[in-house]
Amino acid sequence: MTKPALKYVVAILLNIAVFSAANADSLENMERERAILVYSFISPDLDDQQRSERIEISRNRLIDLERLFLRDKSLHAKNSAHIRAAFENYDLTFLVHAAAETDLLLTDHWLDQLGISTQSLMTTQLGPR
Amino acid sequence: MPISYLAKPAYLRSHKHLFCGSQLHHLGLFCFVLAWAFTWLFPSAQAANWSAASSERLVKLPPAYLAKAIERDFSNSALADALTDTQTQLKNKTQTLIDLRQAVEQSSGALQIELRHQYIAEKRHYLELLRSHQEYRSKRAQTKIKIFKRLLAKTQRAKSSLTPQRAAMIEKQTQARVRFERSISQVDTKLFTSAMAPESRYGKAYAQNLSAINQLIGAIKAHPMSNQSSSDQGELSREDYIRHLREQVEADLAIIQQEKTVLAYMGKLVALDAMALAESVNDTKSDDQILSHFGSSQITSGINFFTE
Repeated sequence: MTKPALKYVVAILLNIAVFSAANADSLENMERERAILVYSFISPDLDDQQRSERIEISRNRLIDLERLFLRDKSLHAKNSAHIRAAFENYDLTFLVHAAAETDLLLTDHWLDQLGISTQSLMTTQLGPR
Repeated sequence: MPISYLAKPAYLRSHKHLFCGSQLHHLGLFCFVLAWAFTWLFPSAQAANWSAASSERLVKLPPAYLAKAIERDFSNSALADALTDTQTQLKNKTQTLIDLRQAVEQSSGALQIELRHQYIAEKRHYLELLRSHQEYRSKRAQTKIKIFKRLLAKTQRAKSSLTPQRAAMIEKQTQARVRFERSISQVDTKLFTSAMAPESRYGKAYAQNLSAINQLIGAIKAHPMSNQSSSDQGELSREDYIRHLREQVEADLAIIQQEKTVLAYMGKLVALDAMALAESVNDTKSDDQILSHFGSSQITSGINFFTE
């Protein structure tokens, strides 16, 4: 590929990246906060008190962020892989709302959606991968 | 031939002029029929026009207001003015024809012939007005059909641009929103009852705005204009509604075409009336009168010049 052509391709890719990033704010914010929540679930560095506090803070933030994303009408016009993936599984994407619907604790709901239960953990055997 | 005879309106002419000769009448009526046929075959170019409204603007309107917006656009055009003028003239002309018919029935002799002539001339004007009226209506219908065709094409283009992948994604979004709306009150009760999770600033502002929006939606639904337009539209989709409007206009156009046939028969009847009048004018004069007019005694009247 010649240098000017390469420049154009890079410019177009940069534009696409910037454009998608600018349009996916509501999704990005929600996913960032959810990632913090999931980290709070599994982080071994937190004691019970800290974990509970962090989960509560993330939950309160996620209530608004999930609603903001669901009410974002501009999403109809977009067909990015991120947005498609976000709507593939309501229970995992809109964790707080889905947990409230099922009347489960956030952690329980998340583990349930991943297919991890007390029974499955009890039947787990240690072995070489 | 006195040109003034054709140029002058019938009511300004004296009866004397009318009976100056049957040939003159023949020629006059022939010219009248010819002129009428000419205007029938070669109608003058009409300046009255209606350029179609921008379909970009119309396509954004809700279906219920579409027909009204098109009618409003039409009412601001030169074609609408011309149509209204023609309608007024037609109404006036109808009254004139009624008056003339009564006058013909009540008159007799030369005056009756004169009035019959005038009646035929007025009928011809009436037919010309009818033809113009039909042309304007036809133009309006054709422009409307053009608008609806463009709107349908735009709607179909927008639909075809939706790929299956995107359609599936929109479907998923819709399902998610439906689930969210269905469970939101239940979720709110569970999340905000505990003192640990007070409602956020966004949540409060959103609830206030939503309440205002619901009030406005209620007012819009209760508005008489809204009720009228929704009852007109029924349960049709946007595309079906446009197609329905187009069918209505096409039906109107078909009626106008049929009316053109009626008009043609009316024209033929006027021509026959004119011919009948010409015949009746001939019949009123006896052969003696014709002979005396063209002068069998012409030669005897000059005898005096020789006997004296």
